[in-house]
Amino acid sequence: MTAGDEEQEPDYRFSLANERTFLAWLRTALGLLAGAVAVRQLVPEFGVPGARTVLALLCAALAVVLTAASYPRWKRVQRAMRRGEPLPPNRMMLVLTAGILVITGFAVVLAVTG
Amino acid sequence: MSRDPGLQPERTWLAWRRTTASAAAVTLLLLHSAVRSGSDLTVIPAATGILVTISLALLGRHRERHLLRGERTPPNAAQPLVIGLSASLLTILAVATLAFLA
Repeated sequence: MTAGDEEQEPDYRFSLANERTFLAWLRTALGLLAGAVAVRQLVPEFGVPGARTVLALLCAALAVVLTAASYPRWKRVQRAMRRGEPLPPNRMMLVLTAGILVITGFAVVLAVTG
Repeated sequence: MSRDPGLQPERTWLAWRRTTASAAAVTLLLLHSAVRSGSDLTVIPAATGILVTISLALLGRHRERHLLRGERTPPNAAQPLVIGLSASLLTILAVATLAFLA
């Protein structure tokens, strides 16, 4: 490692756990992408024209945000572990929760209004 | 030391396999869309999906070969590169799908 004296490579178990968490975020994003394509292909058009496309776009946009944020998140956790610092707060969880809430709310409104 | 050092690489190996399988599933959906759609442009996300899935399989295989070498194997020097590349490839796939949906 090129790290300084106070930095130490974490126990590989924690490093591998961080890697698995990263992969879990990728799978979450892939699930959203699958949902986006499925909504566009399989769900009949709602009463509001274009609403189906907006729903699919929201899912895909959330997938883009999660994939783009996954590597910086992995790196921050890795660095915190090397320095023996507490893990950084996870903003991705807030983004995911808020995003899913918006998408679900939108889908419910569409389903109710037809 | 914990009692399951050997299971850590195995779980990580399985996580790579699951992620590759998820990418393959999304690619199949994109291929389905490309076949059903009349537009030639839908080939772009489908082709991106195929390339990303193959790349992810190769990157995962690289990690797996390292992980299965020994139960006390530490993460190798290529770990950040493999993870960075995987994230970049899936971001490209997500952007390609987003553009196709719009």
